[in-house]
Amino acid sequence: MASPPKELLEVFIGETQVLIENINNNMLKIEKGNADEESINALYRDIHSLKGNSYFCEIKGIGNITHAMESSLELIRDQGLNVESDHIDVLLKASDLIFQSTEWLTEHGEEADNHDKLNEIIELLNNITQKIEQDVKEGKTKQFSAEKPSESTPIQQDPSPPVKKVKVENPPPQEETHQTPPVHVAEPKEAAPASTATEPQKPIDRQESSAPTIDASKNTETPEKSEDDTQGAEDHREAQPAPKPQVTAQPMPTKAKSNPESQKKSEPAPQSEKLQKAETLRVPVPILDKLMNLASELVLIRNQVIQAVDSEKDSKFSKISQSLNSVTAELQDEVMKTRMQPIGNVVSKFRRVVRDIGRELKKKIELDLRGVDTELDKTLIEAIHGPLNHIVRNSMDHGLETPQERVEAGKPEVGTICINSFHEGGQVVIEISDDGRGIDAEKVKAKAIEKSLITSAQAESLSEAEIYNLIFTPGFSTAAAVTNISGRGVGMDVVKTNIQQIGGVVDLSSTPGMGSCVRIQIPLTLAVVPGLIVKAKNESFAIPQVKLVELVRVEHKPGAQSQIENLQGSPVFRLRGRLLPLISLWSILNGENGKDMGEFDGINEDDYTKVINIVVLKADSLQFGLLVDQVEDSVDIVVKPLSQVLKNLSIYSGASVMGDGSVILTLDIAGIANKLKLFEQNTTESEPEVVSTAQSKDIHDRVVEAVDYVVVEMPFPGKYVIPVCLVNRLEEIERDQIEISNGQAVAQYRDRILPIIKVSDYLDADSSLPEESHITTQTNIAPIIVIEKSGRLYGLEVSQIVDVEEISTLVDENFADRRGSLGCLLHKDEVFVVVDAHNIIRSSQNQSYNKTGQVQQLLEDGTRKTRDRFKVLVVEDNSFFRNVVSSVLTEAGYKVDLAFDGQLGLNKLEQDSSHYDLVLSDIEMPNLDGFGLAKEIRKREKYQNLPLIALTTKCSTEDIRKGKEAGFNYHLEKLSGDQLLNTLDQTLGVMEA
Amino acid sequence: MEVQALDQENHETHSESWNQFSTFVVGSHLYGIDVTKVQEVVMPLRMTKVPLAPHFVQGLINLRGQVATAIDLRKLFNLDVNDRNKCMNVVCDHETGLLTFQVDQIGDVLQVPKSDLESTPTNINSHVRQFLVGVYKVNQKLLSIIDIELIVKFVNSKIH
Repeated sequence: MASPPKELLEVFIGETQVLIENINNNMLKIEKGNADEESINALYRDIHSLKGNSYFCEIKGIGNITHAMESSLELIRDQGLNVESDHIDVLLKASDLIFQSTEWLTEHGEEADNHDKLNEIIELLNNITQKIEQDVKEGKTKQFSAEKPSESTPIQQDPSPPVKKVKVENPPPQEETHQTPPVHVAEPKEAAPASTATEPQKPIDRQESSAPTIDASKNTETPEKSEDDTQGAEDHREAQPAPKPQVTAQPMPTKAKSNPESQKKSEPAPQSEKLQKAETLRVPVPILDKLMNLASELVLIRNQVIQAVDSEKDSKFSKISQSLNSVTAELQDEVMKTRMQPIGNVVSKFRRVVRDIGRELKKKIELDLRGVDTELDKTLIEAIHGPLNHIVRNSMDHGLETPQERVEAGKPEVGTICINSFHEGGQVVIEISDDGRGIDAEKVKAKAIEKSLITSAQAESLSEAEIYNLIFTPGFSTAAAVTNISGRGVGMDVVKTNIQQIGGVVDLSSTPGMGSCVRIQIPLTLAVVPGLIVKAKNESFAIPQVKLVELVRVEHKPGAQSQIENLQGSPVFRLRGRLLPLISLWSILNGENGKDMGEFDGINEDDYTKVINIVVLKADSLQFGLLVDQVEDSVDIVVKPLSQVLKNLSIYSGASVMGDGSVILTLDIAGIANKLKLFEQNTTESEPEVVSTAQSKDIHDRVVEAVDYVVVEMPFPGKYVIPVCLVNRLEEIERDQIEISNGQAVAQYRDRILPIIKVSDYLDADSSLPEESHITTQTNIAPIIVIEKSGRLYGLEVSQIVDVEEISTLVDENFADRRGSLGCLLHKDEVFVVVDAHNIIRSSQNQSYNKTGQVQQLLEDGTRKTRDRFKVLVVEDNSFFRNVVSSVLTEAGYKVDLAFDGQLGLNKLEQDSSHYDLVLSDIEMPNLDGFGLAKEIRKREKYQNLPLIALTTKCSTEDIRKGKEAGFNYHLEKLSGDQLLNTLDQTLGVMEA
Repeated sequence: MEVQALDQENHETHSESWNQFSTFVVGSHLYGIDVTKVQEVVMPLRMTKVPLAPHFVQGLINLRGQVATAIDLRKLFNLDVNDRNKCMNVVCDHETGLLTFQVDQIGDVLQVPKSDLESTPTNINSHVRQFLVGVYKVNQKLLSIIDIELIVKFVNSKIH
């Protein structure tokens, strides 16, 4: 067969793709039962156009099959019959086949040779057509009952309503018997056009799901059309003697007063759609790209004109240039818009995916699309399709339960996947949520450990969000069995990579039993990205803002010790207690290894003050500092790819034209890291890296509670702190009262013997450091910090007690390498070492346990025994506090269980068969805060009398009132371990020994 | 013209038997690039250096909003750049992006019969020869024909 001309084919293919999409959408709409007569008409029309086009282009295969499709729908349309699900199945198969044929046509330029398949489906369609004809003859037909009977009813010539039957695609038995005429309208809730009389049991759902998208527009059309339909409405009213008043939450309540009026609403909508269609025009993308380029050129010329005007004083010319200015800006905006497409173009395709997979998995799934009008750049629309598809499939396969499981869990049988898109802060956010079983954090942890992505020790310290994020790690897949829907090993990490490639961010949250939500944030357009301009030796470069973590400015004062240190010949910088590898931009650009400090070599010459700018960047999980000479503005840049001849230069990602017409190179951060082989070092210690990035995220993202610390000095440099909550009292004891008894320094204190422990002995400070300060501070008074541990008091001797400071940074436990230290804190540019007081006491007692305090220890054991009958649940998100509280309680003898946040705590209470005697909860927590937790707990019958204690730094009367209201029995300040134990003992009735 | 007549017998259309070349001077020699590959000729423009690029990549220029990569042919051909007092840019629209070649002087567009192309004599500098597809004899001069693809290939091989 002679192929039609190429140009004609291109048009045909383009047209076919659009038609097929419309056909699919309409078919799904009809199948779901929320179709109106117009859907059937549109479906019929589209198939008809497709048939006409195909025959015109002599694509006989498509022509024949569309002819069969058309025939099968003819009677349905004419008689207003209901479309059977089987019918839709065949029609969808047919449309798939047409789609394949079109693809073939695109690639090969000639008709596909798939006549066997075509004929098979044509055969099926013909059978259906015959069956329908047969049914019509025998009067067995089922009327298509639209949700707008006012339209369909009057059109039908049949004056006897009782003939009509109402039917859904999968009819529940009771519906088949609906014979009474008023049934399609008598349901008061049916007023919204989208809801349908065919499914009276769930009209509300339908309204909710589709109202924001289609129906809003329909409603606005109502007024003009009202009169036209009067006749029909009256007929209708006659047919239904008792129209009930409509009382629903409608946007236009006045129009909803009576049946006939409200039903008319949807009628004009198709017309307005038609109008819109007539006003669109298909434009090849290259032309749009060209237009955009020209617009940017115009902007540059405008800039030059404005500069020229500024230098002259011709007011007339300046007026013209002002209009040029505004017109150009507007033009650029509009041209940008031409590339914008509604996200509905991609998400609506999922209706079909959800339908097919839902059937395959035997799950009932509803796809709820919201914000389909949200627009973003065409290239992005294409780029997100794959990742979205993956996420939706995942949700269907792993997220949603089977109908049976859902019913057992007390949820509606039909699971919902909601794709919600909206603009937020100059970005597009797409949320894919389901109401399924959610993600089991424990399972994820176990899996990650099994796949050696993390160690079990690390798993313990991870927060819930961090655990969920493990799903995005390469090589992770939670599906126990690999299905053909999802879980092929190329899991969510691909989703993450793809989204990151377009400058986006993926986040995952989940509530076990309630569902999970994947949140994707992507820029509006790839064309414009925010970038930071930096300079190295007068050459400017742009750094994509997404790679930027922070800017650090180090002022180097003459005479002071350099803050940039040299480690094995490479510069490093201490940033909040962590070592940050430094790379000099200039050195990289000179083709060196980045270690050469260039100008910074002069750092030790103490003759002038020098400022060092460090741009802290992240490439995947790796952070490093880029030394630049100057940090300039942040600007929006249009990154253009470099010519092929420079493609191999991996340190650049592209070039941009700046406002002044100059060209500037954009640095590829990952490329730089690769080039310098920073990743190689990283892979060897990739495991700690996971933890440390997670912690640095904590520092940035989480609300950190302020904690009071006692700041103390040791006989050597550095500041040390002890959390106030551990401290019983601060004392000063005269040195001559300290005696040595059995090798242990002790003092009499409140009629007891207080063991005195020299903290400095347990901190492995650099012994080479001169102990000058030790000598100077050696006075007759020894500052003692009294700490209670296991019911005993201990005195920790320090050189000086400086102050009590409120510090709101998290403890970096990576630096807990030294004995006696819990980690480091950065506060007001100073590093504080957190003293692990309990550990110091423990080690001191290991040395002298058998020598002293035996009597007290025995007494202590009594209390301990009664305490160990009780199990306490500690709910606290701050890992440091969690550890402190748990160690205080465990030391005292309580059985302790830990939860990272309110939700997890609640789960522990719910799931765990073991019994808790008391819950100790923080207030400020992610997911579910302490108030929420208390409320949830009190809601449950069996926990009415469970003692709840709030442990928080928020202790205003208002907070206490709120806590009481939520259901807390006590409100404790995070202050004293002693007080905590007392309260617990009292509450639980532990006997004082 | 005899050659032309002869050619027209062999070929149906005029354009298929003749080649047109944009010519320019680099050093002391005349070079040509297929005129259909040349977009325009522009005066020197502000240049952004590309650190780490091969030495003959002069930098990037902004050609009305598009970024073009500038290659200095003198440097590419290993010629002395010091005695050059002016230069021009021959802008070519290569499929991988705009390329501009910095040359000493712009010549005419020359039309030569296809059949006149002679393969590059093997005794000339092999470094330069790798960019040439052949030589035409015109007006007592020799016109060396440069293939952009060969230059792109060479440049790519130089960047690691």
